[in-house]
Amino acid sequence: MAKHKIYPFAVASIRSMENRLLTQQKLMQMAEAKDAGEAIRILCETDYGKTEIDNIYDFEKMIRNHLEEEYQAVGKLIPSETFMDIFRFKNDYHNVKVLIKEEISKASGKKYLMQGGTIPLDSLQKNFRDRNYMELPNIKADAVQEAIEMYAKTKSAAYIDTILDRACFEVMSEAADKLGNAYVSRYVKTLADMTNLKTLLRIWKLKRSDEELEQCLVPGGDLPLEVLRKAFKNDSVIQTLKDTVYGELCETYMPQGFTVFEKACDDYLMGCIKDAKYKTLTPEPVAAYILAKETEAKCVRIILTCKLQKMDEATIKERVREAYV
Amino acid sequence: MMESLFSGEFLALLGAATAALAGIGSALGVGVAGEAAAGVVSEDPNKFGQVLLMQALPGTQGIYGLLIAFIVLVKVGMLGGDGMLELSVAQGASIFAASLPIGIVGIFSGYAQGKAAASGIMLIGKKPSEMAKGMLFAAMVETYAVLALLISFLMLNSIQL
Repeated sequence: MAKHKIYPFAVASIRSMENRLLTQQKLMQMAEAKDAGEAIRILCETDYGKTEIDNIYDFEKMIRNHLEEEYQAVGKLIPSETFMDIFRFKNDYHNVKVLIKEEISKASGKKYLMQGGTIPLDSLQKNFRDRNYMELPNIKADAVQEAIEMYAKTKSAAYIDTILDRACFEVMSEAADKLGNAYVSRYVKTLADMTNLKTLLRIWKLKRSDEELEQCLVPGGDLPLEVLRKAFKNDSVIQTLKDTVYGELCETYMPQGFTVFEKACDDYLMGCIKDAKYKTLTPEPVAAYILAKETEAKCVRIILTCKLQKMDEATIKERVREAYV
Repeated sequence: MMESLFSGEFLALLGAATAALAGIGSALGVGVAGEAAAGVVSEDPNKFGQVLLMQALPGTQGIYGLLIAFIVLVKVGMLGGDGMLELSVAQGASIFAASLPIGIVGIFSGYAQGKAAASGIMLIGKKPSEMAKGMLFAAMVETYAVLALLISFLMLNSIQL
């Protein structure tokens, strides 16, 4: 009777799990803590506390372990579905970047590898070493090849990142087109646009070259790359972007500097993700939960890093992203 | 063949069968709600009691269908032991018509109520204190099943055999 496949079990589990997400209040409480130690103590009272750490500088371990746990828990809810894969490609590509750099530097990058991709780590490592791309369906072989060649030519690791990021967005938008789910398509498009806007602002502020912008832009967004190029070339970023869909966002936050704009972009994206709050039975909330967890982890990192740098409360609070719940 | 197919007796039994089809809606509804309930219990087993109550809500359509089917069977004498009454085609067709509302409305409202109940179960998962409200939302759908039951019942009652 239903037109779309429904997942009552998965969504109901997710709704229960959402209770355990850190609230904005909790994050603020951490930001108000008098030092990093106290902030970590507050964090330890939550699910993050399952991993015990001796040194406050090891908080990254807590976050990684917790994220891995969550990826696994959610992965089990909707198994082998392209729906969830779209949100996990970025971890695959992150791992591929690590593996390429590992090969180049001959140093072990094991601690940088992340769970939560579509391909299990063992299989990724093994097949990547053998260059067996048949077993790595979502990794673009040409992109990997191009990245390695570019590095050999230029000795600049930045190319590895930009080439693979581009490939990742290509794979994501192809998968989203194939899936045809409005929520996912909108998310992928907005994510690409936000990434491009951030890149544009950064390169513009740093007064870098056209080529560099060209290298860093990713495909798949709603905003035509032509507009971004034009804006950069004419040195009129805000004026040009004023007339696009993101006009308000760019006009309000771009002049306030990069940190503020980056947060505004994240909050804008969270606004899109929040649409899933009003969906029942269809799988959107499951994806939203993972994204909410990732944002939460980002907030925790921001707060703890700032705390360790002894930054003042007000600055930290300004940087904390909007929470999902 | 065609004559026996369109006899009054056959049409009356077809009516009873149609009314019992309301169970399809209940089965679908209780199924969806059950999946959601299992999802909540997988995270918090203590909520079993609350979600079970919600899961049972879409079950009523099936009972209404059964009730109407029973009334039809009693009316035509199938459950009395004296054998089935002789019915004219018009009488049989009237009984069939009277059974349609609960049969059709039962199927759709049962499924719709199941979805509302599943959402209510998710509400319990997130905010257990709001259980009563979640129940109310699901119970709203019940209205239309009750209305259909009422019409089916009134129609059956006024058919003279």
